[in-house]
Amino acid sequence: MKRLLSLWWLIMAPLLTGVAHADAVPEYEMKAAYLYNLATFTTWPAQPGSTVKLCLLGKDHFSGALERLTGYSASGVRITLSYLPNLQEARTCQILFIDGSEAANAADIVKQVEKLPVLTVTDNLDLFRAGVIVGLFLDNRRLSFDVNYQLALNASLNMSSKLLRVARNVNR
Amino acid sequence: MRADQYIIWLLLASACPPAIADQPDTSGNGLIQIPIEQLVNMEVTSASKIARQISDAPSAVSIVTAEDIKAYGYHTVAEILESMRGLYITNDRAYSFLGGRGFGRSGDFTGRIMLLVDGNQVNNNIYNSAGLGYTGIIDPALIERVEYVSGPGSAIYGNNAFYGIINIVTKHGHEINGLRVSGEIASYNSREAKITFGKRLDNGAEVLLSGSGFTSPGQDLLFPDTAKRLPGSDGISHGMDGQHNRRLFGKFEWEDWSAEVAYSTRKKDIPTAPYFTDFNAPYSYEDTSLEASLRHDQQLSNALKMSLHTYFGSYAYRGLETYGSPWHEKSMGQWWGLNAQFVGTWFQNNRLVFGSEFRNDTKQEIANPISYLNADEKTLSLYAQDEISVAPGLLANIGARYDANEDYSGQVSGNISPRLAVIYAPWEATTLKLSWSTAFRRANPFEKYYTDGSLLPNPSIRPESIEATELVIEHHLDKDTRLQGSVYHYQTDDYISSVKLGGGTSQFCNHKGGSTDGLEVEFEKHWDNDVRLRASAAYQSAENSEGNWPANSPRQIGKLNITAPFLNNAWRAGFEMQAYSNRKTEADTHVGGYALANLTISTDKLIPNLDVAIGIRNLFDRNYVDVAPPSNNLQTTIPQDGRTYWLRMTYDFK
Repeated sequence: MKRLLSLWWLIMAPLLTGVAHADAVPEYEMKAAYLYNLATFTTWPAQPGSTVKLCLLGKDHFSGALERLTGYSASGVRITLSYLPNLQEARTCQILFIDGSEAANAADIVKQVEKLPVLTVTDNLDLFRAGVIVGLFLDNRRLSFDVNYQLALNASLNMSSKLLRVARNVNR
Repeated sequence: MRADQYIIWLLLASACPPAIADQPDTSGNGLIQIPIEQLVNMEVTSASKIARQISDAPSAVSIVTAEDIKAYGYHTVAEILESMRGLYITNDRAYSFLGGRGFGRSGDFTGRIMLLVDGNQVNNNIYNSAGLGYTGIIDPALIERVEYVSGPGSAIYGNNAFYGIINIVTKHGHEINGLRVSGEIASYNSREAKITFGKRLDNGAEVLLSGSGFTSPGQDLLFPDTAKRLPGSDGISHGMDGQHNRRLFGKFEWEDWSAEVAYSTRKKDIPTAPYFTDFNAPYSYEDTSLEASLRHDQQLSNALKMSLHTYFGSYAYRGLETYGSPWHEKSMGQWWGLNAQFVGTWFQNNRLVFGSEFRNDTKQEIANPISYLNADEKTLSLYAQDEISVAPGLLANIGARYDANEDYSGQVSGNISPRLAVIYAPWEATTLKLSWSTAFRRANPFEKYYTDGSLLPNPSIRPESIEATELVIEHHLDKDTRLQGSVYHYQTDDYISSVKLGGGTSQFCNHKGGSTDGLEVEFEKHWDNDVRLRASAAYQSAENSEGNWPANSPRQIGKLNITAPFLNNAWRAGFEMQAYSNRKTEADTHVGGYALANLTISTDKLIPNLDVAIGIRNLFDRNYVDVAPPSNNLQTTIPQDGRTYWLRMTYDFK
C-alpha cells in the first residue's frame, strides 16, 4: 500500500507545477457576442422593426450565453431566441446558428435555407463549405469569422462594411 | 410530525423569502458592449470536449455521456457502470450487483449506492435496491449522461447514499426530434424493440415519450459446482434463464416545470436454485417499479433560487420458488415525498444550499406462506451546505443533514451526517479536493422484519455508518486531456450483514465494521479528429470486521475505452477492455482474475436517418466466472457468457 501510495504521488505530483493562465473569454461567450454583432450590423429585406429572431439548430453548447443576449437593446436591437426542432420554422428567423451536430445533413440544410433571407452562421467547417454564410472559427487563440459574401447577396442580406472589414476572409 | 403541517410550513417558507438585500446580477454578457474590432483580437479559451461534472460534490466523479452509450452500444445501466473507474458488476443470473471501493458482496440487495434519475431517488423501500440490469427503470437510449459520484453522500441525500451516488440525467425531447424506432437481435434469440417520440414544441415545451420491450429465452446453463454437489444431477439447468422486460417513460418540460413518469417491469427465471430450493424446478423473480415526479424551479429573487420537487414511487416484487411445492413470496413498497431546496447567494463569497425533505414510506409489505408484515415510516430531514470562497482559488464546503425517522411502532430516531471539504485550484488547470464525509443507512424492512423460518427478524438492528476521507487531484493537461487521481480511506461501523446462527438459521446483525484504502488514476482525452480515450486503474485494499479480505473484492481493476471514426467519419468503432484481479468466494476459495473486451461498430451513413450498430461482447471468448451469493447453496461461482453478438437498427422519422 505504501509503495503504491508513493507511486501515486509520483504520477500526480508533477501536476502541481503548472503555470497560471491569463484571463481569456470562454469560446461560446465570444460566439454569442459575435452573433449579437451580426444582428446589429446586418440589414434584412423586410425586417420587422428592430427585433432580430436568433434561432439555434442542433446541440446547444452556449450554456446560457444566448439567453443573456435576449431583451438587450442598448444598440437599439432586440434579440429573441428560438430553438428549432427542424427547418420548417427557419423562414421566421433572421439569424440561424447551425451547430456541428447537424453537419451530417449539411447539404440538405443549405438547400432548404439558401433562398431565404436568413443569415446562416456555423462553427463547423463542413457546414460552412456546404454553403452557410458566416463561419466562426478559432484561429491562433482568437475567434475569427469568414463570410461567403455572394451567398449573403443571394439571400438579399446587407452586411455592413464595418463587419466585413474585420472578417478574416470574405469570399466574394 | 404530520404531513399536512409540513406542507403548510413549506408553503409559508417559500412564500416569504428572507428579507435580505439582493446583490445585483453580474452574470450578463458584458462582451456585447465591446466593439467587434476589439473582439476579434481578444484571446479565447476553446470549449473543452471533455464532459464536465454537473453533480455538486467535492469528490471524484466519472462521467459517461450519450455519445459513449452509442459508441459502445450499452444495453443496460450495469454495462455503463462496468466501463467506469474502479467499478465492477457481479451477475448471479438473477440480478446485477454493483461493486467498488470495498463494497460489492455478491447477492447484497441493498448495494448501498443511491440511484438518482433526474434527481429522483429510485431505490425501493423494501430492499434499498435499484435495478441496474434489465430491472433498471430507464432505457439507456434515453440517457444523456451518467455520473458516478464516489463516496458518502448523506450530507445532502440522507439515508442510503452510503458508498456513492449514481446520477442519471435523461434526454430532452428535442434531442430525439421526431419519431425513433429501434429493433435489435442478439445471441441466444434475444430481441429488443423501442419506440420513442421527442419534440420541442413551438411554445418551447419539450415532450419525450418512450416504450420498449426486451425478451430472451435464455440458455441451458451448466453449473459445474451443482453437478458435484447435487447427487444424480448433471448440473445443467434447462430453460431456466428466460428474461422479459417492458419499460415506459414520459417527460414533459415547460419553462420552470417538469413532470416525469417511469415504469419498468422485468421477469427473470432463476437457473441457480438458491435458498435450498429444487434444481430445475419453477423459480422466477418479477420486479416492477413506478416513479413519478413533478419539479418546479423558481428564481425568487436575484439571490435566491427555489426548487420544489415532489415524488411518488412504488415497487412490487413477486417471487416463485419450489420446495417440493410452490412457495410464493410477494413484497410491495409505496412512498411519496416533498423536497424544497433553496440556493441563496446573499452574502459575498458564499453560496448557501439548504432545504427540507419530508418522505412518507406509506407501504412496506412483505408476504410469504409463513409470515406477513406491513411497516411504514416517515422521515423529516433538514440540510444545509455553505460553499465559501475563502481566497481566490480556495473554496471551503461545509454541510450537514439531519434525518428524523419515525418507524411503524412510533419509535423516533435521528441521524446527523456532516461533510467538510476544501477545494483548491492553485491555477486554472488543476484542482485539489480534500474531503471528509459521513453517511448512514437504516436497516430496511427486509433486514429488520422479514422471516421465512430460516432467516430470523431483528427489530432492534441499528443503522450502519461510514466515514470517508478522500484526496482528489484533477488536472487538465490541455483543454481536452484530463487526469484525475484519488486516494481514500473508508471506515464503516455497525455494518449490517447476515450471520449464520445455529440450526440452519441466519439473521441480519450489526458488525464492528471494516475499512478500505484505495487509490485510483483516470485519464481521459478527446482528440480533434473525434477519437476519444478513457483509461483508469484502481487499487483497493478492503478489510471486513474480522480484518480479513472480504469476498468478491478484486484488489486491482483496470478499464480502457477507446472510440474512433473511420472510413471518412462514416463509421465508428468502440473498443473497451475491463480487467479484474482475483477474488475470494463465499466459500473462502479463490477465483482467478480475467480481462474482457467488447467491440461495437456503428454507422449512420448507409441510408439517411438509419443508424446501424453491430457489437460483440466478450470478443476473445474468455471463459470466466462471477462469485456466487452466499444464498446459492449449489454454486460457489457462476459461469458467465462467452462471446455474444448483437445487431441494432434505429430509424428516425423526421
